[in-house]
Amino acid sequence: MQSADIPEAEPAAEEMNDAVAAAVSRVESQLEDLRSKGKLPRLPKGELDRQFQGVVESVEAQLLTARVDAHDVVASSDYLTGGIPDSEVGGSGARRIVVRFLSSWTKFILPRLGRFATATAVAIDQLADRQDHIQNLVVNNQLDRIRSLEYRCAQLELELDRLQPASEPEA
Amino acid sequence: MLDQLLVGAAPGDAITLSALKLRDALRESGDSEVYAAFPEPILSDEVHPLKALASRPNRERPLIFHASIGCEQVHEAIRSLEPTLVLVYHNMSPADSFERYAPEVAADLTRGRWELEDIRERVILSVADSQFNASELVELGYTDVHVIPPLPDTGRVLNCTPEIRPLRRLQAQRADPVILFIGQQLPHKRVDRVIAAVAVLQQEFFSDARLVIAGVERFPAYTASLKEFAATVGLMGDPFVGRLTDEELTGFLMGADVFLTLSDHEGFCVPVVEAMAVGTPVVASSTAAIPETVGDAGVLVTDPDDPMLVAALMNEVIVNQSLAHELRGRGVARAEELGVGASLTKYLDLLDSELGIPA
Repeated sequence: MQSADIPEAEPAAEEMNDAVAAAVSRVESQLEDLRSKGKLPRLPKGELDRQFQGVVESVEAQLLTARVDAHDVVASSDYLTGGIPDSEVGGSGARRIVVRFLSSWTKFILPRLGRFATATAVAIDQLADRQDHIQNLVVNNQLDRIRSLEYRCAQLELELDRLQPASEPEA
Repeated sequence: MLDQLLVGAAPGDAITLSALKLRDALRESGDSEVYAAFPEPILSDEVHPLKALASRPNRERPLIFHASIGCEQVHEAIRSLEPTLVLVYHNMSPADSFERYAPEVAADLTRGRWELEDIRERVILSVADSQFNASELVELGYTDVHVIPPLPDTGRVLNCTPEIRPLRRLQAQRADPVILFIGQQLPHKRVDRVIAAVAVLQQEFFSDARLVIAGVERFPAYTASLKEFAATVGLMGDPFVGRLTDEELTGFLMGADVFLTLSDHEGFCVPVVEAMAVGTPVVASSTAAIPETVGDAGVLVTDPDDPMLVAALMNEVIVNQSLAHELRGRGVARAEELGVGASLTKYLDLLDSELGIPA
């Protein structure tokens, strides 16, 4: 290798009397000081990369982007929250009391049942979606791997074809 | 004179711009053309398709080959036409960071290094953008590698009228300070580190700080992951502004408080030079060729995986006015040292002294 033609930067960056190097060193020392006193957590080595790779895998599996919109499901169960309409209340006094009691009970219990049913349906739906996406991820990864291997094989076969005539012994 | 061959050619691409600058200088002494396997149609007046290489005007002279990725078509053309080569090595990104998002690109990058070994006997003169790149060529069996910086066209940010409306829109939302990242959204550029560091800057130092990520999306899955990651770490504001015109880029560069890049792998890093040229303080990872490009004109981060450290250093640059002033001055001087004029002269002198081809 020839000696560098690229303009060499002054080595001043490593000297403590250099303004930039001094500022960087001061900040690093302050940070180290805080960490050694336990006032600032130390990020484990490779943690940032692990976090990002976790997000990448989630995006590939579409776990983060496929959020279930449960609004429609909940809206469809609204009729459960009304209980028995007052217009249907009538008849004898005893009947009216029973009906009003049933109506109150209905108003109390049915919305809860409705919410429970909706939440269960949404959870099952989400589980099924996640299962699908994880399967897709595995399948896609396998396909990518196969495609890259096929590509490499094709390249190597091409090289082999080129090299074979040259290596064959002369008749 | 001499012709040049590239794999791809695109407007704004650093290698394409370098080749066109060199062509313009070579044309002062005769014919000189640029060829590429994958030229963008908008460059059809400037760059010829690969199939025209066989009828290039300087067939009896060496061909300048800019290597940055493997390409079967280009390699086949070199094999069949058998030119002697002047190799200009702009670095090949590590294949492993592409395997997840684009296995075919990873394969081309792996193939590229094999191709460099395969054409070695044809190369009569080799040039690398940086010492970092030169050492990679030496590992591939090359000797006498000359190191000349590429031809960063700082004129595109220095000689245009800045378009400041996008920046003003950002500032109207009380964005202050503004942190700028310029580069394609590629895995080895570690945009995730940039996002994490600015999120910490917002949470610990400046709640109104805003990040601007200027550059084209290459792999949708990677960009989608970056967006989810930004939401996960609580980054405020949408940082992605896509590809910018030279005028918009200059506007952001002039308005930014810090230019931040935390790449894992760079053969030179032209955006750093552009930032320094307009006097934007640079905070960059101390990895690959970045330290030799930045020199002492920027803040180099020894552990770019530590977002707290990066945020604290950015905070220091923002609040310490004398430090920012020092960085601006050194940056402008460093960019002038690395400017297109100096490198162009070195290229022409090298071609003259080694090949006897006066330009």
